[in-house]
Amino acid sequence: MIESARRILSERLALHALDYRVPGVTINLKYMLGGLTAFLLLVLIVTGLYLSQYYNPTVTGAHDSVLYLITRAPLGDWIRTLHVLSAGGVVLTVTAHLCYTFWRRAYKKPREVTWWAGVLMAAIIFLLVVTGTVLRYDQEGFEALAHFLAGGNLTGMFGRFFTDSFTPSTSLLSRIFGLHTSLLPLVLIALIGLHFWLIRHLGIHTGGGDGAAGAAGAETGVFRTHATRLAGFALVSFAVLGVLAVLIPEGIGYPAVAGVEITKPFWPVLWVYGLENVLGAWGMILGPSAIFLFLMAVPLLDRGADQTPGKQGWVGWLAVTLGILIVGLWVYGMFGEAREHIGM
Amino acid sequence: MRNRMNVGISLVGRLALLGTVLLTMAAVHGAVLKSTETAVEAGKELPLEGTGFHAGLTVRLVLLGTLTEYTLREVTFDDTGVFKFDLAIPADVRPGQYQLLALSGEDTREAAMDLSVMAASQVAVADSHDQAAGHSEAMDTGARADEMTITRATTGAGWLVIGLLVGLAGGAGAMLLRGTPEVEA
Repeated sequence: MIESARRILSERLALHALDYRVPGVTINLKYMLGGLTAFLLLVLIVTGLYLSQYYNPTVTGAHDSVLYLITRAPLGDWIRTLHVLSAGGVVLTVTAHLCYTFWRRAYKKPREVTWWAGVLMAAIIFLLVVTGTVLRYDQEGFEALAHFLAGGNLTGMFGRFFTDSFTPSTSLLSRIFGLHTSLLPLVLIALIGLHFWLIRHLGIHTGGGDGAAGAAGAETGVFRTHATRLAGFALVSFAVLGVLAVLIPEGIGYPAVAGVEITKPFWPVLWVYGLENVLGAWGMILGPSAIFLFLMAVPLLDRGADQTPGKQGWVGWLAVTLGILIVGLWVYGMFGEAREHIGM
Repeated sequence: MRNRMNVGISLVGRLALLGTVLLTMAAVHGAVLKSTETAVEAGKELPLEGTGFHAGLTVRLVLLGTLTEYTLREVTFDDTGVFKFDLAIPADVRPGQYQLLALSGEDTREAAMDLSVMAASQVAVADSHDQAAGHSEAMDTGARADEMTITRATTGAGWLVIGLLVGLAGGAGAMLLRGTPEVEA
């Protein structure tokens, strides 16, 4: 019965197209972190679509609409918490994916563009996290909005989009809502398409040579098995997040009061908060920019023919140093005293 | 025979069209609520005008917000179906976006208009459209970094849906993982 249904589905949906050979080692969680990220992004899109049916992106209506979502919308509280937890999950899986592909030196020729697309996606995910924080429009959200405003003013013409001088026709909150729900997701989806296209046609880098070279690259697996196991991990992740969303429902702060800076940001951004403690408001621009530029430059800096994983030399040590700095700043941001950075 | 059928179909079509027009006219009798202001400060008055209401109709003017609802007053129309007065907005109305509704009988919506109700210090912010910057000049005390205490509203049916989703996802995921053993990297 099940076998018959499977055969009918396979014929109708052309699932045989998934039966191409891949390196056997890819049937392993370490090679599924990117796929898991894509799945969590899908959860974010679906839950985000639901939330957007109730959210009011105006200064006078935003906070009340979130309260309405939590207290009155059907399943609103759970779906919003699932959205926030999935955002945290995406940050974890994309970071792990980035670190593992860096260690494997999967950015080397001919996969430079795959790497750059991935780094751009990571940057967009970071922006999605920050813009999402604003939408709460409680004290924390308001302070995040004020950071956008301050960053826009600091960077002159480059940051004009994030200032009130950009247009008098709508508020910065509404434009950030637009960024969060349309522009950034659209760019992200386009980049995911490019990333997947390149992986399909250039093959998954398994280290120790290109494609089929070496034992690790031997194409002893089938993509359908990879995809099935990935679906298994994805569904279990969803179940775990669903349970967590019941156990630790996401809250909301009190309506914003301006002129003070008393909250700390969402946990993925705490390292930037720590850097702001050291450098002031410029920290929020310089820190993420430096990390982004370094990651984009990696394929150009590590040009040798050797592809042995973990043997990047000084580029690797620089990455380790930056990683330790980020962790240190995160701990400082998490446990250090709350400070004012933007002179509200 | 065929010709008679065509005439019949045509007649039914015309009657349906006429019925639709009459029903639409009955439903949309042109009742309108309007004001020269789109925002009002809680505790102040809103210049309000209503036109096109049925003569002799009594309506309740209700402020319907995201989280709260306030019944403000009743109006009974004379033969003209028109009113014009300053509507008092109670000082305890929570700032936010509202619909001002004219409801008759069993909550039949006769007319509606959008209205923002502001705390006293926020009116200038909405007027300037300079919300983010304006907000920072509006208030400077009473900020809280902690979270609100909220009564959450997931019902029994909600828990059932969540349980089903989580259970199905977890079960299906576990089955898929069992059927595809991992390869050592």
